[in-house]
Formats: sequence, structure tokens, C-alpha cells
Amino acid sequence: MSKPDDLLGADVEGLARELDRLGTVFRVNADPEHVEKGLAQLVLTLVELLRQLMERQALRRMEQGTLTDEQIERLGETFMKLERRMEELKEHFGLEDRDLNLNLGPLGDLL
Amino acid sequence: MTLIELVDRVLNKGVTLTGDITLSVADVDLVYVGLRLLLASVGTLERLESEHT
Amino acid sequence: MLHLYALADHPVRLPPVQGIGGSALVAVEVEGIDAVLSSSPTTAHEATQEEILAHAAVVEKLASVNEAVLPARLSRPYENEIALSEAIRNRGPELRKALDRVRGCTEMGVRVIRESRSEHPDAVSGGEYMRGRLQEIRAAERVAEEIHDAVHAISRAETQQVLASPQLVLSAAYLLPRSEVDSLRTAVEKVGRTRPELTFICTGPWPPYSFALVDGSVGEQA
Repeated sequence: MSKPDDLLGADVEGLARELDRLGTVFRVNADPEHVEKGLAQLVLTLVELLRQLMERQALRRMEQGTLTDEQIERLGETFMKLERRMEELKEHFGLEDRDLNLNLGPLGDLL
Repeated sequence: MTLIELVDRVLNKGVTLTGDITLSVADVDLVYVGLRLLLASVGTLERLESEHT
Repeated sequence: MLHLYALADHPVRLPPVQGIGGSALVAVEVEGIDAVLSSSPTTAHEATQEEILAHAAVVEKLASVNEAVLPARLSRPYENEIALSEAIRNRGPELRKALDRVRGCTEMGVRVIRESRSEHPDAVSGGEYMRGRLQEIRAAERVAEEIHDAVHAISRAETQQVLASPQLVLSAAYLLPRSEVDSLRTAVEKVGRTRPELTFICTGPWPPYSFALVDGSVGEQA
């Protein structure tokens, strides 16, 4: 089973942009009931999973010394931004960590 | 705490013979699918959003 | 439709309990492996709390009167015996290996929890964030290693997950002979005393859900 080495290449910044868009969608519609909580739960679970995976991969690369200082700086900022955005969205939908099923089961081995 | 642990074991661990892949993630490939699914979900959300305004 | 609770050595001892919805437990043999089943009145649907608890109760009882039990995950019902038998036959060697591994054993869970870390002040730079995260993970891995060292002589297999969430420093499961349960608790308590800022919790004994497979997605040897 090959590990997703280029998951980072799959674009942390792209994910941040999507997350920004998500925030916009949810903000425009003030009533969280309009967007099914179940769907939000699904989306946020996936986002959180990807965020954690990518963060772990980035940290591993940092440990291995294969990232430049600039890349480390940019990645760190993006992850922080993602984390903040996640908190906002979770709060908006009244979701807790456990609602996002953060016990990752087998994929947890990748963390 | 124990109830959460129990539910986690019953739903996420244990042998599966049906080949069900629960969305709480089964293996690496699902992550790639997940990114696309995620983007598709964003599209769905936007559509839902526009349907309600 | 059939609901699967667990696989076990043939002949399995069926405990005097009912299955989901009051159905009767039956055992179907497939090449030396017994599948413990009951009829399932409905088709696939999202599991209710009642079903989860009923399933867990049956698995619990099975594990208490049989030496080797592979708990089944709660999943959608099987069409019929034929489909189920074929699935078991196809995975025969793997399942037998898994049964051998859990024979005589039980599962203990260990969780190590810390207080919420303070929110990142906005002034933290990207680089500081990354270095901070790396430190957190390394510290959590050290805890995982200490527990591993303390119990690995008595455990047959383990799974460990570090920092699945900010407060959950470690969540782990250990497969060990039933006779060693108290030894594990003592060993974990000992590590806990050296780290008073963390909370160490042992749960179980559990039927070996986390070690139901040898290869594949669940229960890889750490």
C-alpha cells in the first residue's frame, strides 16, 4: 500500500482556498439548518482528515530536512489558518471533535 | 468514555466480510477520492445554498 | 437477511442470549470456522444505538465462553448463508491466522489525555507553529514508547495512535493473555505516576475488536 507522498503536492493552499470558499457559503446563509448538518459533518470530517494528514506529512518532511525555511513558514501559516477556519465551521454547525469521528481507525496508522 | 469506546469498536473495528468501506476512512486511496468528494461536496453545498436564497 | 456477530473456532459455544431484536443465535460452519449469526429483519440502514449495544452484548458473551473469537464489525446484513460462506472461504487462511493470534487473549485499551492546550496566539509565526507541533508530537511519541516498553513483554500485539486529537495524546490497544490484564493495569499506572500532568486510563477487557484481522486494515502488529 503506497503512502500518499505527494499529498502535500495535492496542495495545502488549494485546500485552504476551498475551505475559505466553504466559509463563504456557510456565512452567506445565516441559518445552519438550511445546510444539512449531516452534510456539513461529512465535509468537515474529510477536511479535518486531510488537514491532519497533510500536517503530519509536512512535519515529517520538516524533520527530514527536506523543506526550506520559507516553505515551513508558509505551510505553518496555512495550517494555522485551516485550523482556525475549522474551528469557526465546527462552531457554526454546533459540531464537536467527536462528531467528526476523529478516531481515524486504520488510517490513523499514517499519522 | 466507555460507551464511546464501545461504539467505536463496534462500528470501526472488528472483521468485515462485506467489503464495506465506511466513510470514516478505510485506506489510503480513499483519501484521494476524499479530496474529490470534498470538492464535490463543496459544489453541492453551493448549489444547496443557491436553492435556499 | 443475516446479521453476523463474530467468527470463532468450530465448534463455538453459543451463550444463552438473544441477538438483535430478540432473534435466536445460530452457528454456521465454514471449513472449521463458525460464523455466529441471527436473522436480521431489515435491510441496510444506519445502526441504531440499540443495535450497537445488542451486537456488543452478544460479542461480549461469546468472548467470555470461547477461547478464540473474532468480533465482527457492525455492517449491513448478508443476503444469505451462501454469500457469507463464500466470503469466509475466500479469506480462510487469513481468518484462521487471526483466530490463532487472539486465542486465549483479550484486548485492553489505553488512553492518555492532557488538558486543552492554550489556543495559539495569533502572533505565532508559521515556523513557530510547525516547530511547536513537532515538539508536541515527539513528546506524545515518547509517552507511547514508555507505555510500549512497559507492556510489550506481556502483550502479543498492539496498535497505537498518537495525537488523533489535541487532547488525546495516545490511544492504544493491546492484545494480551487474559491472565495478564492486571499486570497491564499496574504497568500503565506506574508510567502514569511518572507523568502527573497527564491522565492515564485503561479500558477493557474487551473482545479483541482491534485485532480481528492479521493483514489489512485492522490490528497490524505495531
